[in-house]
Amino acid sequence: MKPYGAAASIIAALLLLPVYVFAADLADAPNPDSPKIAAPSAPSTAESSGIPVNPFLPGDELVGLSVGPNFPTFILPQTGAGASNLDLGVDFSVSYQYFVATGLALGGELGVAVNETIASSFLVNAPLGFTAAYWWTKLPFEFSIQGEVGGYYERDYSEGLFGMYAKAGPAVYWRATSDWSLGLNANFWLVPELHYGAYANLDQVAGFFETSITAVYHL
Amino acid sequence: MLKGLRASGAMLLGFASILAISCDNTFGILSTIQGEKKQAGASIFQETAVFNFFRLDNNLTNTHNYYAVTGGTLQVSAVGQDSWSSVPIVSGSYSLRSAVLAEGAGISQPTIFALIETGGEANLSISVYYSTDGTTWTAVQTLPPEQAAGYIDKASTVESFDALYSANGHVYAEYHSYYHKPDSTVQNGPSTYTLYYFANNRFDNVATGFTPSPASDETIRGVVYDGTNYYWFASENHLYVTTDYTGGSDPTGETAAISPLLTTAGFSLSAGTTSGWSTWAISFTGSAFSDPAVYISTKSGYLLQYKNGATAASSSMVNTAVPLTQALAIPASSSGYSLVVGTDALGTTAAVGYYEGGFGSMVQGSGGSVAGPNAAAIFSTTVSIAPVHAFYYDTSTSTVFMCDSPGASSTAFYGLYASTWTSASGPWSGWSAQ
Repeated sequence: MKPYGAAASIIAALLLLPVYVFAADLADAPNPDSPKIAAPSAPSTAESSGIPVNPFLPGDELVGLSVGPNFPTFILPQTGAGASNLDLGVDFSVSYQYFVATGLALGGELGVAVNETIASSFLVNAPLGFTAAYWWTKLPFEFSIQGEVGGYYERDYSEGLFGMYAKAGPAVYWRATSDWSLGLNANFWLVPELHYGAYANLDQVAGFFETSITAVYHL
Repeated sequence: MLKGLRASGAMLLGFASILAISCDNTFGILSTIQGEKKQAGASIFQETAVFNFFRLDNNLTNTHNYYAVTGGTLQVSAVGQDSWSSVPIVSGSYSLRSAVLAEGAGISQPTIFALIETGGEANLSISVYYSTDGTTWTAVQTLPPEQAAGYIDKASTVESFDALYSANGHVYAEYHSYYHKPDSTVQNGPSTYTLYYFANNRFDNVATGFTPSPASDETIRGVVYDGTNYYWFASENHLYVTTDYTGGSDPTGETAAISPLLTTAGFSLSAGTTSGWSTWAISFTGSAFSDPAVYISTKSGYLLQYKNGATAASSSMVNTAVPLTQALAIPASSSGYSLVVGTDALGTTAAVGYYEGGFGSMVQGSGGSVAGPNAAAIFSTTVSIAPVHAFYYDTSTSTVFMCDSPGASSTAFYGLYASTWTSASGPWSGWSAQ
């Protein structure tokens, strides 16, 4: 059992914050039976900082840079020592998102994750995925929930494999300036390793809990 | 929206081009990781090459020890103790160059022979010592005459003795001289190699039709005994077979007798000279569970087999890219025994660990497919990119030992690993650092 369970719990608790805020936003939403107020044609801004109150309008763009630890959680089926043969790893990624509707962004992410194994080899995963995310704000905080699917290149022992992966998770940010937000991002990865033909018995799937410190630049 | 999709598409296209790298459907990365084993061997073997390994049983003192030859020292541990210490062959500092175990009809009891140097470069002295218990060492009194010859540059005498070999209780020393002008480091001709045999506490020249004796510019690759009749003397491009351990007596007749057999089987041998291949190592597998056979490991990745006396021999390519080191037979669940043969590095060609399996169907270190001494994961995290110099199988403990050069890239790699046959039908325990 890895000793990082407590840390993972704290991070998970922090990342539940956006869900709470989202629920609070819903509670504060105007009664649909009330007279409608026309949406502003341009984002309104906070008086002193110039930060848009609602920065996630169609046409907005974000570039993100993330780095943080990843926690191997399982390898199934368990044919040996499972994920306990993988140490705590590190991940790094760059991402781009474009808002196609208020709060709804599409984009992509390119990353790399490295975990050392118990016998001192290195598992490297290089994912490239298509991302869909929903963003909302309660200044000075911003929140998002995202899902991603894509392909990865996995390498260890001088051997390489391609595969598809999926990941999803929430994020919470602090809007530091009109251009930058800083926050915590968490995702759960499913990384299936599939083989064909006579080698289908090598099929396995790994799960990773990825956490990152993320800097977002608002273009 | 189109802008976002275009950006994503461009990233995916870029990634796809990166992915135009080969991938191996036959290798399970995650399953291999699950099978990994943490290695925690003796610090003396961490990032330290081991070149030879053997067991010495002394029934008079009832001691049973393992010995490991590293680059400079002879290490000893009692069997089953895993507690290693350096053997003091002489008082003061010395450096070990080579050590072998001599056992068989040619010697009254198993004996270790060790080649050591003392005195440093300025006052170099090279000696051979032998011991039956690993504690009391006796110096060989007379060394080959070239040792004292005036035409050897003192600064180069560090190269004057390369190795020891043993076959059926007889011990051989390989002498290596540089043709240097006196007091000069300028080489005045090609290196030469001479083989000597040990008898009556002295080394004598192997005076035979074996070309590297008295002198040749070919590296000597070893001497083996085939268990019944013949001593096989191998240099890089010559192979000589005779019933006389000194290499003497009627060499022409012996060579003529063996030559047609080798030629028919795919060995190309003409008047004792190999043609088309060069020998890198020679070995004999004669254990109770294997078919006795002589194996010639070639510089070009071929393993040549000669077995059943005069009736069968064949050749098989293992890996054309690498030189092969000595072969050994070990138990296997399916076919009774399996061969293991190491690979060496040569020039820019890197070693790739070892191959195992039946003769003619060997695969690189894949325990899963041939019931070898490792799991695939353990091969990948031990010697998959290292030269493997030798294997030794201890029948008493059903354990195979593997000697390799682990390099200095990581403390996770060791020069000595062992795997134990755990039951009548296997499997092997998997490589474990010693």
